[in-house]
Amino acid sequence: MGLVESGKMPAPLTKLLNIGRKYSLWVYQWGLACCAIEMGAAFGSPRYDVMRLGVIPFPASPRQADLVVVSGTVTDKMVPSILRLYEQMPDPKYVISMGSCANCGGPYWDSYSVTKGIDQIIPVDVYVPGCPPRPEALLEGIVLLQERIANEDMTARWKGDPIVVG
Amino acid sequence: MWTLAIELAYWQQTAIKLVVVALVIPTAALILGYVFLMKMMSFMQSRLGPMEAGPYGTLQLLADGVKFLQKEDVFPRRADRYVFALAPVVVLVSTFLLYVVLPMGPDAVVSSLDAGLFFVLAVASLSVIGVLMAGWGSANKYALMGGMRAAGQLIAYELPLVLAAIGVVIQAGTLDLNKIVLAQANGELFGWGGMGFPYILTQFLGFAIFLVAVQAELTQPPFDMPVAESEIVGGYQVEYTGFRFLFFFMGEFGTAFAFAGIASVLFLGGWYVPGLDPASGWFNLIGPFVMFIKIMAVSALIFWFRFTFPRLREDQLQKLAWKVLIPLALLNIVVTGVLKVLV
Amino acid sequence: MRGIGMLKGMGVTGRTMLRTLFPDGLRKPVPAPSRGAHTVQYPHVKEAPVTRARGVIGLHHDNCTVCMLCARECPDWCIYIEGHKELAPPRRPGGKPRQRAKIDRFDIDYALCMYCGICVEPRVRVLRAPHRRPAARRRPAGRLDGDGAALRDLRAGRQRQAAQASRSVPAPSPPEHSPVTVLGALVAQNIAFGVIAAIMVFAAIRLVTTRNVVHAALFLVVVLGGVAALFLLMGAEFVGITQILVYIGAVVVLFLFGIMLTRTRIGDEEGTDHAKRLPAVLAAALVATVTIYAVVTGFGDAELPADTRTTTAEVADSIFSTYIVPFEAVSVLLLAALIGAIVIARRN
Repeated sequence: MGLVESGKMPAPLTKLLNIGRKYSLWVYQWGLACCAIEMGAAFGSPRYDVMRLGVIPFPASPRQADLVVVSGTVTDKMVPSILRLYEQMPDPKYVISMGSCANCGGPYWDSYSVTKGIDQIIPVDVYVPGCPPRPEALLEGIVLLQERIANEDMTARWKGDPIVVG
Repeated sequence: MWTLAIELAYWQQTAIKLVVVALVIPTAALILGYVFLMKMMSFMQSRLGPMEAGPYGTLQLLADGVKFLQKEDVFPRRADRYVFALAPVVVLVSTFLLYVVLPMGPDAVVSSLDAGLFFVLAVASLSVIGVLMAGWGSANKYALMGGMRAAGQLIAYELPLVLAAIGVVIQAGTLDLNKIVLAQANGELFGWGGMGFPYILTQFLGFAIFLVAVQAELTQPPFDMPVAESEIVGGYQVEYTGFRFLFFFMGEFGTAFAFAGIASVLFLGGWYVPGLDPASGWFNLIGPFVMFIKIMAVSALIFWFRFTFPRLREDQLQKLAWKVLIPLALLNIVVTGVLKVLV
Repeated sequence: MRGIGMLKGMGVTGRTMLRTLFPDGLRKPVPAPSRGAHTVQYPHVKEAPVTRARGVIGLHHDNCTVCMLCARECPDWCIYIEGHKELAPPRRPGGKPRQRAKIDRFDIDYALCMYCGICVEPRVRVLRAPHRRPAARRRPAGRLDGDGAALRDLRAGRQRQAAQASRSVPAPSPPEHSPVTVLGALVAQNIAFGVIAAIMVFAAIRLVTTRNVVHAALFLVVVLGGVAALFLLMGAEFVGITQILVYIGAVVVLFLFGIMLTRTRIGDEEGTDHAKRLPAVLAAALVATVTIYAVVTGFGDAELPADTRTTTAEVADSIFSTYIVPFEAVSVLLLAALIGAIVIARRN
């Protein structure tokens, strides 16, 4: 939509749009290794029930996703697929890197085949440390992401330069 | 007899009705989505569902809507642009048209067509075109397969839907939805007219077939092969983003609401509540609320079914339609016809 | 019996829903899902971790002797320790000042750390602090190097694409179904007729001239929808709706089915044109002339009566009384076609 592409927006509208994005993060699950089990516990189990926060694990296709959680060991062979997935998601989109491996290679820091962190290929918004992180840690990461989205300025985001998030 | 003494010009009535319908569909989609998709499903899985967006997550779907409007509008490079862009609109239009004949009261209906039920069934088949357009225009093999599956399924289940409704038509002797309501309101149960005669009492088989067929028409689990995420990644919706996907979403839930309305008109007595004079003008006021309650009850049944069962296989789906539902519906028609003549 | 099992399944989900919604039982139906559900509402309610929970690693700074054992044991080298030696006052007066290690920096790269606890186990200097918030860290500002440029290019390309998409022309709106309940407004009716007819003529021409087979089928939908709208406009509800149900809902869907099963290319196709264009135009013109002539000579200036609306009941009555024989003949014909189709399909 061209709604947020052009120039300035009045503050209340920005606020409304931010709230919309904040509470509607349809999440695409990119589970690669043991972290995927914990991600499943966070997204699929009634105990943690990520839907409470508005993170909805419905979308079958990245076209409908707002957030991708890359969890687990990213190998160099998997990198093109992840990049493609990220390209297929429509803007505005967010990435959570879950687990030591996805953050920076983790225990495979000297492996020949493991990518040392997915931030080398796609911009990451929140890193969730742990090996694997508990489901609460992932929820904490989502809460932090939501805090950031609530204070985001879409005009800055759409200027086209690499996303700088602080 | 006291009726509501409001007389409006034709264009005024039409404008009011159009506005109401245009508001009803998003609201219906929101209510059904929130109450059933979000909350009922969560409770059935012993969890809470949306809690953060608004009190008890009531604003969750509004947030979803606002978000979808902000999303980038992606066209696949090899897509058939016009077809791709128009497909969700066609689906949504067919949903809108369903509401044209849905009676909410003796006069609270957009256009009381003579062949109202026939109109509903005809218009419902329009969405097949939209689905096929989406499947083909996306230039994606999964979309194409999903579109094919959807078309095959919608055609197969159109028949039991029509045939199940015919039992009611035979009993009421009319296709006009409002007259079907009146026929039920004026009916007598063993000579006792206290509660009218909702056709579910005689047409329970038709009711069951109708609900199963509606389930399949909505491509909901256990008949969600056209959008099966684990098989064909969302089927014909696979390439849709942002507000176009929102159109599909609204179309699905708007259609669910409309079909639940049709089912409550056909089988549960529509806007009529026992104990009141069906010719009273008050029904224009309380009718919508009565209908709303009945629609929610029928939708609860539909969604309860949806959240309980896993997906069937494609051949099982077709078998169920052609070998079970259609013969049963035909049997229902024969029995109803014979009884209608004899009794 | 399969149905009983299905009912049982619905019973299970239904019971779970009731238990979640009314945790106090149905005797006291107060909805309290927050208690009934198994969910722990994490940001508001924090679970007490079990004693064996692998929490965040911390350090007792006072106990640290900068022995580096923890850093050496760490399987992915995520502990950074720096220290220096300093002289502490002697324990007894007159004694030698003792040398003591002081820690300057103790950092754990929490992205790398697996919380495995290998640094903790043999020693007591480093401790676990399971009560600490399982921290998720924000990304440091401006950390896109190297690949940033590539991403920027991709992003710019996609924005161009999006800009093109937003320029696409809105397609013709679907034909409107004019309400037929009021027949007095003849002017409105004429205008509606004109609009629908114009759309139909446009769609019909495009149907013939387009080189895209699927587009042709979709233009056919528009034309047939226009016909249905015209029927509705003239008060022939039943025929109009039948037009939608049969032609759009069934025939064109089958067309599309066939096209999509055989041809999967998107875009214009060669070979949709025909060498005998002129005879085709002539044939079409001839048919049009004959039709127009027949209509004009048949009806002339005769006007439709004001109330032309035929009810469905009338249509049904005439089908089942006046036209019963042709109707039944058509039914038998269709039945024969149906049986023929089954025979062909089951040939082997």
